Amino acid sequence: MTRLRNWRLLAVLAIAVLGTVVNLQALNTQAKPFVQGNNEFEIDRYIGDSNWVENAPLILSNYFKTVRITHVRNDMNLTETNNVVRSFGVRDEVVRIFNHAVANYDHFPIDYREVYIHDRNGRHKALSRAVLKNYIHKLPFGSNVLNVACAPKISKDCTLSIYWNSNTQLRSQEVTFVAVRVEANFFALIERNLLNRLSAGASRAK
Amino acid sequence: MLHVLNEFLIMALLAAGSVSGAWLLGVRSTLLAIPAGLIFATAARILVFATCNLFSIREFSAGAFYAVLAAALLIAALKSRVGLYRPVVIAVATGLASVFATRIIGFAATRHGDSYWILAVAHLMQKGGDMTILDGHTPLKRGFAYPLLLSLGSDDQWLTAITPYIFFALICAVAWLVLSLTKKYSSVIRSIVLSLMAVLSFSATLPLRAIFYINGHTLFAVALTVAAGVSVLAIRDQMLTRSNLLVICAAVFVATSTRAEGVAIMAVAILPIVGSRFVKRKQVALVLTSLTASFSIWQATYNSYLIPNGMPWVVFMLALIVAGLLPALAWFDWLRHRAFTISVFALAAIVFAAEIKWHTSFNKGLQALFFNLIYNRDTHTISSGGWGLIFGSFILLLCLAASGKVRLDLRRGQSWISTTLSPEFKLLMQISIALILGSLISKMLDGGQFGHPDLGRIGWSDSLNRMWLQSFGIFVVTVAVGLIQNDKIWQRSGAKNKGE
Repeated sequence: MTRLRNWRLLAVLAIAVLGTVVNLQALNTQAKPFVQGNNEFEIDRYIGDSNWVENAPLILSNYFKTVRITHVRNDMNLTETNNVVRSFGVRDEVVRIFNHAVANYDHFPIDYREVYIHDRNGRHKALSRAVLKNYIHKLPFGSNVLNVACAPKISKDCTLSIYWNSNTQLRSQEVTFVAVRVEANFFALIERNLLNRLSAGASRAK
Repeated sequence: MLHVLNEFLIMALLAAGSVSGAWLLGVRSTLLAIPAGLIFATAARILVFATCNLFSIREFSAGAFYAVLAAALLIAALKSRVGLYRPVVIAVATGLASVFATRIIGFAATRHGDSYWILAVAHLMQKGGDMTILDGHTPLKRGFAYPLLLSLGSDDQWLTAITPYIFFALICAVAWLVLSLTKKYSSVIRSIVLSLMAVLSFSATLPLRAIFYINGHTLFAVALTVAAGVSVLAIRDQMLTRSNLLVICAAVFVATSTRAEGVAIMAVAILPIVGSRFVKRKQVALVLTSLTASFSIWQATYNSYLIPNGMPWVVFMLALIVAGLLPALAWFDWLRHRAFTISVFALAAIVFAAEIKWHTSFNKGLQALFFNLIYNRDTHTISSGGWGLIFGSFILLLCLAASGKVRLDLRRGQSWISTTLSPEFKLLMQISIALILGSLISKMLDGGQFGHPDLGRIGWSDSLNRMWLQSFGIFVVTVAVGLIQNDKIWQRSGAKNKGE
């Protein structure tokens, strides 16, 4: 007990106890340090189930036998001539590592922001969230929308959804997805046959 | 079930083979054998994979690595008399417990984008895929050594248990270093201090998160703690044994290929031993070569965007190794013997100059640093970075460790500050300061390559906030050694200090 009358020792103990108590309290209020009950150990499934910004090709290649993605040219670097959002990031090494997908980077996403259809209901956009909503693929992490990198990296709020017709498309098929710009910072990967059907007869706004 | 059994076997072989390798190379301490073994095994994995990559037979690299481990285990078992079986049993038990934790209970890391990148790279390595896929695209910060360990899993799965095993190796490294530096002190005092450090550290979010977090920080921390620790012991004893030299070289080799900032941080950490007069020139050359060789092997295998266009990788490797050997020349002895002190001041000057040049973004970064490590004034919460009160407590505990041991003396002709602190504690303090400055500069360079040097943002996932995990082992050792060695803390009230 005489040791405990030493103020230095008391201070050491007090700091350690106080620090631990405060840490434990913070531990209760902050996000858990790790999770329990994980049963996914396959790398492509584990990553594919996440909301990783680079995940779009992997989500598709986890679902379909072979996937081809077109119109995903993405110049990420901001320059004097490349200073407006035109595309979203699709990393070629991710596509090639999980090599069930290939990507064609020749063209930017097709811009459908001002493309209209005239039918008996009047004039409406060929592709909009409302038109596409029946074909949306619910992403593995429970959302419909994936955050993606804007190209070039001007803004951080670009998003992407994936669409196909689940009544006609089988997992064992080889499919092609076309990248389309639907809104200023909202892009879509749409299965080619579905895109052709939805945009048939569409005309660009003057 | 087959995958679980497979991982049990891989971890058992990895644990037993790595500890046996350490034993064969002269490591006899049970606590050091586990981290040193892990480091030797990782270095072997890098060399085997790089060699297989050279001949485009990457798919055989895992098998060849297992053969190396099995050979180490067999030779050690035939040669050993004492000192091998205890670390082997502890290592294998930990390896199996790690598999149980990840595969049976299902403990897993907090999900994070950097982890996905690292797993993707590991997937490519596991499949024996073409490493040139990553060339010129994948940033250096994904690392090389850690994905190589993860890729040892079977059938498109990663080796889940390696991450908690690495964390255990870090605990062993810290405990070994504290106990080795305080051998002559009471075991009761050492136990009390180690227990206090453990309770304080494992009550906060980030050290707990590091147990399963998929990133190279913990592997880097093991290598850094071991390299710096063996250096401090060698400097204290004024002797660098063959086995200690091998441990330092392997640790430097592994750290350099684990994280992008590895070269810079390890260069700072090894300066005390490289600059010591008792270390032979040949030994200095070996330590420096392990730094440059490792980095150039990484560059030659993938991430070769740092190799100038058109330059063959062999030329790049030779140029880097030769340049790295320059400080070992006799001409540079005057600089080498003062290099550590000069480097600490130089690092401080760089941080100071950057603060003046990029004042606005730095102030924001410094505020984020304070919010992450100490207290977030905006949300009125302790440490947004998940460190709880650890850093605040460490600062106070360091003050107590130095209390009564540092005197200001302003009399003419006297040194301004006189201390009775032990040389090893002072060296640990200097290394800690150098690591802090080195981490700040590494973070600046990370942002600086895009033209915007900064010191990070608020939140646990900020890279600087996670980088503190790498130096955390050394910080814990510094505080613990300081507290144990300050006899004024432990003497009974009223008792006079023996030394006075």
